[in-house]
Formats: sequence, C-alpha cells, structure tokens
Amino acid sequence: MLVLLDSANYLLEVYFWLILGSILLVTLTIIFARPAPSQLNDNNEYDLKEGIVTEKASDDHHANTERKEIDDKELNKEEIEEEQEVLIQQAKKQWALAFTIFGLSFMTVGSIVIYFFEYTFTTFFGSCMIYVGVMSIVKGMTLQLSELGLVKKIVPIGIFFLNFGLISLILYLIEVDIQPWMMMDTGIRSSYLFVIYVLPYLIWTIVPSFNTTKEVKSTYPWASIILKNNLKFILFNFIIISILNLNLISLPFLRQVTKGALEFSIYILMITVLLETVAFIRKPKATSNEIDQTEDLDAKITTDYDRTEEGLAIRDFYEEEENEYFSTEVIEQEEKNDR
Amino acid sequence: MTDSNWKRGGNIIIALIILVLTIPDLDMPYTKNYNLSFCSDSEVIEVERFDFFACEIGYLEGEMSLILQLISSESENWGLVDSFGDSPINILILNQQNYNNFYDKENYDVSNIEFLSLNINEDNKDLSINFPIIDIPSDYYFLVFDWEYGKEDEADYASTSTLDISYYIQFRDSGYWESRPY
Repeated sequence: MLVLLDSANYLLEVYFWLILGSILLVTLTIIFARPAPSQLNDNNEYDLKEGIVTEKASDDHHANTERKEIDDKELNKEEIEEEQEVLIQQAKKQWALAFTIFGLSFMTVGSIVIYFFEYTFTTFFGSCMIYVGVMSIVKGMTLQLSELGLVKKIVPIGIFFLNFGLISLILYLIEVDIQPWMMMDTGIRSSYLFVIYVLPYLIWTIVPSFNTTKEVKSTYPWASIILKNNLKFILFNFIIISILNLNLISLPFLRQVTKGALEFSIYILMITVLLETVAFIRKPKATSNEIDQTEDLDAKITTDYDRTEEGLAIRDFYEEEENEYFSTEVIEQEEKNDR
Repeated sequence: MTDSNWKRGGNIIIALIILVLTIPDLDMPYTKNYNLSFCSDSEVIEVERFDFFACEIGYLEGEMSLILQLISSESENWGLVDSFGDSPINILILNQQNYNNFYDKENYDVSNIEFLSLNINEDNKDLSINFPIIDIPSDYYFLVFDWEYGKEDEADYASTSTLDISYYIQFRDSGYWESRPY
C-alpha cells in the first residue's frame, strides 16, 4: 500500500511540475507574441533633415522614363515584401498561440490519462500525448524566435536534447527495460535511432515554420550534400561522447545511443565518401560550374541589371543572336522613318 | 580550382581522416573510447600479453542474468589454462569511469563484487560463469580481457605473446532464462 501511495504521490508531483512548466511556457509565449512597445507608441520623435529639391529638365526623356519605371517597380516590390512580412508575423503569432493552446490541452489530457488509468496502453498513450504537447508548445515558442544564424543553430540542438529527455521519460513511464546495445538486434537499434534522431526532425519539418528568408536550393551533388551532413552528424555525436567521457555527468543511455549513431554514421561515411570521390573525379568542371553559378546568382542578377541600364552597346556580342541584337535598333530606325 | 571544389575536396579529406581515426583496434590514446566496437554475442579475439582487449557492452541496469563462456572444446580449455600459467587473464566488466582509470593504469574498482569472479585461472577450469541474478547499477559498461596490461616493467622477462580466445556472453533480464531453456 505504501508503495502504491508513494507512486501516486510521485505521479502527482510530476503532474504538478508539468502543469507549472506549461503555464510558464504559455506566459513566455504570450510575452513574446505581444507586439513590441515601440510599435504601440506612435509619438516618436523623428530626426528630420532639411533640404531643397529643385526641378530640372531631363536631358534624355526616354532614359529617365525607363529609370522612373524601374524605380516605381522597385518601390512596389518593397511595399509588397513589407506587406508580406507583416502578414507572416501576424500568422506566426496566431500559430504560436494555437500551438501553445493545443500543446497545453494535450499535456493536460495526457497527464490525466496517466493518472487515472493504470493500463500499459493508457500509460503509453498518455505519455505520447505529453510528448506531442511539449513539442507543440516549444514549436510555438520557436516561431517567435528570431531567424538569426546562431538561434537557428542552437534550436535543433535544444530540440534534440528535449526530445531525448521526453523519450527517456516515456520509456520510464511505460517501464521499458533498455537492453545493452550489443544485445539488440538491428531492428531495435534502428527504432532507437529513429526515435531519438529522426522523429524530432520529421516533426519539425512537417509543421510549417513561416521562414521569411528564402531558401536557395543547393546545386551540390546529392553525394556531396549527404557527406557534408554526415560529417556534421559525426561531429555532433563525437562532441557528446567526448563530453560524457569526462565523467562530469552520467547519462549512460545517451552514451549508448550516440555511440550507436556514431558507429552507424561511420558506415554511411564509408559509402558516401566513395560516392563523393567518384563524383568529384568524374565531373569536376561541370559540377563546379553549376555550383559557382548558384553561388554567384546575386552577382549575375546585378550584372544583368547593370547591363540593361547601360544599354545594349556594351553587352557582349557573342551572348546574343544577331537578329535579336539588332532588333531594337531596327525598330528605332523604323520609327524615325515613320516620322 | 574553384571554391566549391576546394570545399568538396576538404570534405573528402576530413572524411578520410575520420575513417582512419576510427579503425577498430587502432592504438591511439585520444580515441581510447569512441573507436571501440560493440561486443558481439560470441567472437574470437586476440589478446596480446601486457595488453588488453576491450569492447563496449552498452547500457546495463537492474537485475540481470549473465552467462560467460570461453572456448567450448575441453582440450582447448586446458591448453588455455596452461598457457596462462602465473599470468592469468582477468575478465572485467567495468563502467565508464573505471574503464578510464584502467586505461590510464590507475586504480579502478568494479561495480558489483560478483564481477571479480569472472577471472580465469587454474582454479576455474570449466571456463564458464553463470550468474542467474546479478544486480547491476545503472551505467555504461565495457568488457575487458586484461592480460597483465601495464605490468611490463614488473615482469621478469618482457617477451610478448598472443592468445586467441573465443568467448560467448549473454545479458538478459533476470526472468528471461526461467521461461526459455538455455
């Protein structure tokens, strides 16, 4: 009886901390979701600079008209982009709140299910609900975080450890005896790697993130992309193992999973390095040209724009077909003749 | 050579360095842990005198049963025991911290007193150990075959020799063998 009471108290304590934590998360999310105080007060003092604008007749009416049209287009583009950003920000806030409410409800229902039912299935079901709830709340919070490079790099690491903690909690609640890695068959090993590494990634990519920065598709060969990601994965696991080897913290289950992942990624590395070497030797020029074209995309756009501005005369002749190249000059000649 | 080619070439070189560093049994002080492979249920290993063989068991916790057997052939058993002579091979199951201490040739401990009975010497000629229930503290463990590792200076003659050992090891939940005949 005492044992039962102890376990009930323990569950109550877990439930209490979960609710307290979720309330804290909701509070933080609402604080982040609120508009900044600077946007509320419109009585800002502006730093005005005085100047005189004089009207001047244009020397070349045609060129000025073109320039004006281009300026108007740029202004319209900027306005549209600003409007889109505002809409995205609003959508982000709404989704953040939706994720938080959804996550909180899941956590509450999951905790109640675990508390009131003692079946293995209900415990597993409740644990999964808590897992989804916590992930949902964190997803809502990350929607409000900035898209700076540092934050972007820290968030996945944080999500990995959060996911690991939640999976450990689920395994503890459903009383799964974790076997040593050497005794596991390939299927069980793969399941552990999937749940620890792939599942959080899938959850994160399936749910929209509303990134305002446009992702440029890489034109690197797929073997090169896999190799690069594999190296990052190896480095990540190696760092974790090195930290755990210091014996400052004892996380044997994490050590087991990261070692398993490291061993698996070494096998993948053997294959990918072979494929990448073959690809690198076989088509170095064509591939590198494609990559350089992508990397210098902005530079190319700017160059084309400059060329348009400066006129056709300085454009390289070999880039154009003869008829097309002289077409504008023929039209101008015809217009002159008509006059 | 373009920047992208440099990057790709660099990735290939880094990958090759990693592959070289992670070759199993490569004697490198810094990679003492992460290049160790996981143990197999049964395998033949080679142990050199004044050295050791180690592999990773993984995460162990709670009450478990442990079966450890060496070579099944009786004649080979006797040969193995004879070859030990005054320099027995110690079979150790060490946790992370103790393994590090062992590797660094410092004093180390065992997590359970029963683990001290794993040693093979002239008194233990059947070379088979069976613990139906053994309480193992939650930790990450290594299986080590130590043949006088670090005692080269103390030995009268420092001639190295190698020994092939075939082992079989099983860890199961304590109730596993009751329901399934071994």
